[in-house]
Amino acid sequence: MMVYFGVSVFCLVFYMIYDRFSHGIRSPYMTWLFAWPFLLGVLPGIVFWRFSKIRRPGRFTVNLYNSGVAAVTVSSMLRGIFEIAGTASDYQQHLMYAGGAMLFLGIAAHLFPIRGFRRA
Amino acid sequence: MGKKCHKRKYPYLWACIYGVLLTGYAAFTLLDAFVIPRDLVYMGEMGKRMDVAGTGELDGMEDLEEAENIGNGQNVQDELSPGNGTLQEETPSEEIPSEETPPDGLQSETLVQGESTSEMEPVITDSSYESSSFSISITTMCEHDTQIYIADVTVSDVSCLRTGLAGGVFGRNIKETTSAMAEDNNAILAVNGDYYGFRDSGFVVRNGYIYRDTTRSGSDNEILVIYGDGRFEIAYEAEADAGELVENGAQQVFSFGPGLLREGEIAVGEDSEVGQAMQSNPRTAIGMVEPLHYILLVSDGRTTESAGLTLFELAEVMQGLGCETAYNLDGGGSSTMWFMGEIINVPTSGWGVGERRVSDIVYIGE
Repeated sequence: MMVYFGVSVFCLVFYMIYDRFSHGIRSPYMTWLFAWPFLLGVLPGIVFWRFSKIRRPGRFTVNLYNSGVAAVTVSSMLRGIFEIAGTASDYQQHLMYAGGAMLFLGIAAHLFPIRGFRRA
Repeated sequence: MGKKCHKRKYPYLWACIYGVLLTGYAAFTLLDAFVIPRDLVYMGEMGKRMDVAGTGELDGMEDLEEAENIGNGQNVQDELSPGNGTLQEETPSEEIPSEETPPDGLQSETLVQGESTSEMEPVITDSSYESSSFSISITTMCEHDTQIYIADVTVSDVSCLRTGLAGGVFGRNIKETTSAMAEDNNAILAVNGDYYGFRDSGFVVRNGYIYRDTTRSGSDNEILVIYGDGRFEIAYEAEADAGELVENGAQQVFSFGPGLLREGEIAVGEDSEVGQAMQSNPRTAIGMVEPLHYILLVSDGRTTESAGLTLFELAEVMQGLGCETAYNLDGGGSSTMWFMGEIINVPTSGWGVGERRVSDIVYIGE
């Protein structure tokens, strides 16, 4: 949770510095960059910390979910950079789709654990 | 037991590998968007585009070696005979006197002018150029706390209003400064174009050839069409077809926008802006007072001396100069006006003053 909090702060600082040099051109993907790690990392962390009886996810699930959050956050940052510059990239969109898929699979793996799959 | 020890030893193995892969992917994506040149003109694609124009003959494109030469940076316009979409067969470059041959229908007229121009020396001052082919007058004005540079251009033939591509090649991330392109093309006056190479879509028609015929997403994107008879027209890209435009005589099509003036009336709102940009920026605009009488305008901005113009203010200035049709070209750091070997505005590139490299220019040349 603290790692995600740190990443959120980093994203906020990154946006503020980038905004300083972008001649007033803004993109919501850059402005709200910090929201991805905050909403997808810090808040779930608080929930798990507050409600200790909730079943903890396994290592595979955590890796999958974290990878999804990272991909979505990086993709959002790239889209912000591209929108501010006035261009676009298919590769950025592919990363967003991949991140979304990993998030979905990570959540699904936690909600519907495969019977017999050993948790790390 | 052994496996447990292994996992404790490398608890962040996945995170490390994934982090490296993600960083590499992000770096590649950024390089692909901003740095890696992608030459989009190659044999098959050029043939397809000429087919779209409906006037192309693909004989010359059968030669793979010739196509590779085009892809390797030779001036595409040297390889082509503008105006009819056909390739010249193995014409030695020395036999082509300039970058373009005038389009059909204009050729004989221009040749006649050429005979007369050879007898008349151009009259050149610090802010003007006058020959029998065209006249250019540069003036400056200050409005809205912004320095504005205006080139009033009258040409005898629309073939004097030309476009040049960075490196003479159509492609993404192929860039040169406006001044370098102007010198390469022996221009007298040049401004930056629409920076087509920063996007993967949007019509690109240059000197009568279709280089790209894909439309940008969105229904309200406007294009500027310059016809062979000197007329300007602003149209919606989604409703237009690049092939039809060329068949109807389009020589240049720009895809940036928006249109500033239509039939003398301001076509942008007071809050209009390109993307999410702030309202006051350096600007580049092109307008038509009447066929063969044009205005090229560049405004400063992003400096302590010049605040920059909004699109509405830019439209007002163009209207005040008597334009019937006016169109916004790429602005911001790209805005550059070059005249007789010198940059006359104050371009801002990145975080300071300097000339940005762009994909294309609009220029006036003999």
